Amino acid sequence: MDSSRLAVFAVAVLIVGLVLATGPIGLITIPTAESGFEELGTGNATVHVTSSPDVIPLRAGDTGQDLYYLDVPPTIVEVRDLQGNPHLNYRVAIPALGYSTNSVTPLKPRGNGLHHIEIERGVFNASRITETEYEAELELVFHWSGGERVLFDRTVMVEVRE
Amino acid sequence: MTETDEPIFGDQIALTLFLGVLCFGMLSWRSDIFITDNETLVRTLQAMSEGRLWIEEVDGEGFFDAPGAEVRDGRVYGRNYGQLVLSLPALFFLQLLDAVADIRIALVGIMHLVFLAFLIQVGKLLGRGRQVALVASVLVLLSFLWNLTIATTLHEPRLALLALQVTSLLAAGAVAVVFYRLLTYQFQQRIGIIGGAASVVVLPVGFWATIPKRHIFSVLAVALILYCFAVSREPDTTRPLPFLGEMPVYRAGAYATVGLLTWIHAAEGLFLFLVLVVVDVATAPRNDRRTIAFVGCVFGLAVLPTVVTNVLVTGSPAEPPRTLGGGSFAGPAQEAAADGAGEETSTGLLDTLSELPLVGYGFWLASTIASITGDSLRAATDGNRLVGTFIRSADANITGGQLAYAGANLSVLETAPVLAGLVAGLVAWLARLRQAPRRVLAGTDPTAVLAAGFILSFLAIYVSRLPLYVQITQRYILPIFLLAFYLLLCSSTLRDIVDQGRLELLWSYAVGVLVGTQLAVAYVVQQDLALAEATQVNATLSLLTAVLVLVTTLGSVRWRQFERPAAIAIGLACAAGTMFLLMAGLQYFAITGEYILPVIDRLSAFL
Repeated sequence: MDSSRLAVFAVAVLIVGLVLATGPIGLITIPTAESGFEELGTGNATVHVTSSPDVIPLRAGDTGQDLYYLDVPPTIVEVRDLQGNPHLNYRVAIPALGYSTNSVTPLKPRGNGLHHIEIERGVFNASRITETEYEAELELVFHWSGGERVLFDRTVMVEVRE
Repeated sequence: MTETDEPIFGDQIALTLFLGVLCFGMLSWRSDIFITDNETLVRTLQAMSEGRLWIEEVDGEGFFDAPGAEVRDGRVYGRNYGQLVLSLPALFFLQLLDAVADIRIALVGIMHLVFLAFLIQVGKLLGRGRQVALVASVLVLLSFLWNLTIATTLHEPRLALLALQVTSLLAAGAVAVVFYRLLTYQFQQRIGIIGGAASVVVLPVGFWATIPKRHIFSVLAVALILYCFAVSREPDTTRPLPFLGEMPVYRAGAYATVGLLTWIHAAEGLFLFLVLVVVDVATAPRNDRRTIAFVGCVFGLAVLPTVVTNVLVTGSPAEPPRTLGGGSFAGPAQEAAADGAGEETSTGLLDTLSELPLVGYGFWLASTIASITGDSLRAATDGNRLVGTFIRSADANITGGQLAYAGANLSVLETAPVLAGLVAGLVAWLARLRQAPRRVLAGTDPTAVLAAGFILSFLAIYVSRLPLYVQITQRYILPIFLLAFYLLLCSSTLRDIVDQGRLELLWSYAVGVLVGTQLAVAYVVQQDLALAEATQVNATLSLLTAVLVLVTTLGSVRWRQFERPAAIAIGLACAAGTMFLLMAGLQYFAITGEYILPVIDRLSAFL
C-alpha cells in the first residue's frame, strides 16, 4: 500500500475510532454547552455603569418595505468581584407606541470585566411612526441572590431618523 | 481526465459532483427547525418510525397543532408522506449512530469523511491522486481534531429532524448528478460539469439543501423526469427485463417519477403528469400497445403509494392529506395563506364529488385544475405581483409573517441573476425561427418543450400565491429555477459563451465569490444592517450582475466580441448566487439553529 492510501486509511480509522469513543464506551465525553443561564440570579458582584445611551435612534430601513428599526445602543457595565451568576435585565419601553422589550444578560459567562449589555433590534411598520420623537423608558436592573437593585431607570429620547 | 464507470454514479465526475454538493450543503447545516411547519414533518416522521401515520390521538386536552397538521377522526395527521418515507432509512441509521456515539460528533465525523472522499476524488480527476490524498488526509484529520476539541453536545437533538435534513441533503446531491447526466447527454461533458455544479451551488436550490421542505424533492423529480424523457426520445433505449423482454425503462422512469411525486405533492404531480403525457406521446419514437401498457402499468404502480396513503389519512383516494381541514388540492390552507383570493375550492364540493365513481373523479380533477389555473391566470395580470416575484422584491407588498423577516423574500432574478441570459437565448431562437421557421420548429428539442411546459405548470399552480412571506427564495417555484437554467443552456448561443469563455467564467466566478463575499460580509457587519437590509444588499448586487448578463448576452447574439464579456458577466452572476447562499446560510439565518459543525458555529457567532 503506498503512503497516500495508508494515510487515507489511517485517518478514516482514526475518525471512526474517535467517534465511537464518544459513545457508551465513554473514553471521550463531549461537554454539554453551558447556556450561561444556569442558577440565574444567584451570587453577587460589584457592578458599575460606565456608559449608557442618551438618545435611541429609530431609523428608517432602506429595504423599501417601509420599516423602522429601533437600535437601542448598548449600556457598558464594569463587573468586579463576581460570585455565582447574577444577571442584568435591560429594558426599553415606548408607551406611545405600546412597545416594550427586554434582554437578560447573565454575568457568569464573561466574568469580571466590561460587559456590553444589548437589546434586540425592534422593527416597526412605518404606518405606526407618526412623530419625529418619542419618549422611552430605559432601565437596567441588577438581579442577585439578595434581590434586585435598579442601576438606572430614566426617560430617554427616541429620535426618528429618515 | 480518466473516467471509469462507477455503478451508481456512472462516472467519477458524477461522484465528485455529488460529494462536492454534500460538502457545500453541510457547511450551513443547522440542527433546528427553520420554518414552523417542519415541526409537523418531524413529528409525523417520528410517528412513522413507530409504525403509524398519525402523530397522536386527540384526547380533548389539547393536541399537536403546528401548521400542516390536521385532525381527522380524532387523530392528528401530517403530510408529505412521500418525503417522510424516503427519510425513514436515514432515521434508522441515525438511531443506530445515536446508540454508539454522541450524535453531533458522529455527524461531524461523517462530514469529514465525506470531505476527505471529495478531496481525494478531485485529486484523482486532476491527475494528482497521490499527493492530494496525502495532504487531504492531514488537513481533514486536523480539522476533525479541531472540531472535536471545541465541540459541545447539541441541545436536545431530534433525530427525526436530522434524518429529514440528511435525506434532503442527499437529494440535493442527486439533483447535481442527474442534471450533470442530463446536460452531458444532451450537449457535452463540460456543460454538464458546470451546469451540474451550478444547479445547487449557484441556484437557490442550495439554500434548501438542509432545510427539509418538499421543494428539493420537486426539483429532483423534475431533473429525473427530464433526464429519463431525454434519453427515451432515442429509439433504441430499451433495456432487457426478466420475463418481460425489451422494455422502455427510461420512458417508464419518467412516469414513475412523476407518479411518485404525487406522494409528496399531489397537485404538482398531477400538472406535471398532464404536461408529460402530452409532450411524450407527441414526440415518442414509438407508441405501440406494448410500450403504452408497460409505461401505464409503471405509472399505476408509482401512484399506488399515494392512493393508499390518501385512503389511510383522509379516507378518500383522491384527496391528499393537504386537503384535510379545508385546504385546497393545490396547497395548504394554513401554511402561509396570503390574500383572500387563495383557497377557493370548497370542502363541500370535494365531499360531494368524492362520493361519485371514477367518472366523477375525472370531472373533479378537471374542475380543480381549472380553478387552480384560473386563480393564477388572474394573478398573472397583476403586474406588481409579477415584478415582486420575479424581478425586484424590495417594494413588493407582502403582508403577514414576522416583521423582522420582511424584505427578506427575494425575487427570482435577485437570487439567480444568471437566468437573465434566458432573454438572449430566446432572442437568438426567435431570430433563427424567423429565418427558417419550418426547419427550426422541426428541430426543436422535445426536452426543451417539456421543460417549458413544466415551467408553465408550476406557474399555473403557484403564481396566484406569490409573492408571499417565508419564501426567502420563492421556494414554491424552486423547480422553475432549474428548468429555466436548463432552457438557458439549451440555447447554443449561451452554450458557446459558457464553453468558449469557460476560463473567464471560472476566474470571474472565483474572484466574485472570494473577494465579493468578504467585501459584502464586511459591509453588512460594519453597517450593522438588519436582516432585511442585508438580504437587499445581496439582491441589489445580484440585479446589477443580471443587467450585465442581459446586456452582454444580447450583444453576443449579434456580435462575437461580446462573447468574452458575456462569459465574465455570467461568472459574476453565478458568484452573486453563491454569495447569497453562503451569506444567507452562514450569516443571515444563523440564528435559526446550532450549526452541526462546531467550527462554523463559532464563526457565525462573530458575524
